[in-house]
Amino acid sequence: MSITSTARFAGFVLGAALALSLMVGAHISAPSGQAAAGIVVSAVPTGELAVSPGGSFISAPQLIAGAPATRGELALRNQTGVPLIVDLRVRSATGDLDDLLRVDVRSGDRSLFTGTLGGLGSGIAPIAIRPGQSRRLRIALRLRSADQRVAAGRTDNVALIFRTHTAERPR
Amino acid sequence: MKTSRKILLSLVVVGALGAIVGLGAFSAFSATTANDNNSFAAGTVAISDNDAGGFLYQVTNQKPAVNTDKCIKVTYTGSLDSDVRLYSTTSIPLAGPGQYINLTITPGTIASPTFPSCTGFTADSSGDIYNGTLAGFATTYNSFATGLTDYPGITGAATKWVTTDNVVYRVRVSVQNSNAAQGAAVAAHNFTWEAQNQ
Repeated sequence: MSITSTARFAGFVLGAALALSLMVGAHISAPSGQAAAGIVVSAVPTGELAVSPGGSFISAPQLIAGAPATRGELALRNQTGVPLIVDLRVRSATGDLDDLLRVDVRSGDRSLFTGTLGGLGSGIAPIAIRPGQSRRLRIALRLRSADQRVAAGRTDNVALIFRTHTAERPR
Repeated sequence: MKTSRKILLSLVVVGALGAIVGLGAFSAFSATTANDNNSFAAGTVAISDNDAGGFLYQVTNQKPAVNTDKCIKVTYTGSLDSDVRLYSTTSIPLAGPGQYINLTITPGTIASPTFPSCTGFTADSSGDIYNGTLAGFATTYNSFATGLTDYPGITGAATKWVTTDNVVYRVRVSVQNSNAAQGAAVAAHNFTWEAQNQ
């Protein structure tokens, strides 16, 4: 192959590459804005356990990755006549944020759970509440910075379902 | 190849590339319509109380005309609007000892209840939903179909139970002040609150 042919071939390749890049670059791009993720968290009381506030206590329609955690607080009161061991589960409407949302559950200085929303389905470290006594739960939710693109536009409505059992047999 | 021919060919190539670029740039217009995020979930009916498996009362050696007051909080947590009815599945014959046990059931509220205490109980202004004998209650109200209907708040204020509705029921029992009531005893019996969606 002569030098001239080689140069022509290289020119063709360069031209084609240029044309291709122009094609790709000239495409009308999609809107670049990303929708935020959104979540509503509510708590469901039980016969044994009064929960305050009732209904939704966290409403975060604009969760942004890397932003400070969205927080909520609950008061749980044992309204039975015996000590209770309290655990909780989550019931998720869509499950869309199960792997993306980081959850931290604390009671006082004690950490009861740290992990993903989906992981919360396995429960928290149980807490004991005496008859007529209350405990406060503090719950924090946040999206990791790396998850914004994946989480964009996803929403969920999560209910905290409390489960109780007696710490001792009822008298 | 002559120079003019080369220039002509170059123009043809450039034109072809321009056409391709133009096609790439302006062929992106499109339109779609979609129906997303369909889902289906059944509602729930759920009711519970604060007894944690304990009894409301176990009275022994009671004197006549002495009231024993105990309270139980019933909470509805289902998602469907429901009716709730109170009944007993225990058979207590009308002509048996249960005819000497008075029973009064009064709905109301307690700000911070602790089973089975009635401390702080405030009765609904509409008053008792049952006032009679234990035997009469169990005989009359023995299933959901025959159960005693009650809704949160005063009578007529609500026509359904919705999620997180709750009512504290004060159950008052006493033995009648009659010699015929001496030694009257009714063994284990229950009170059942049943919810069914409307």
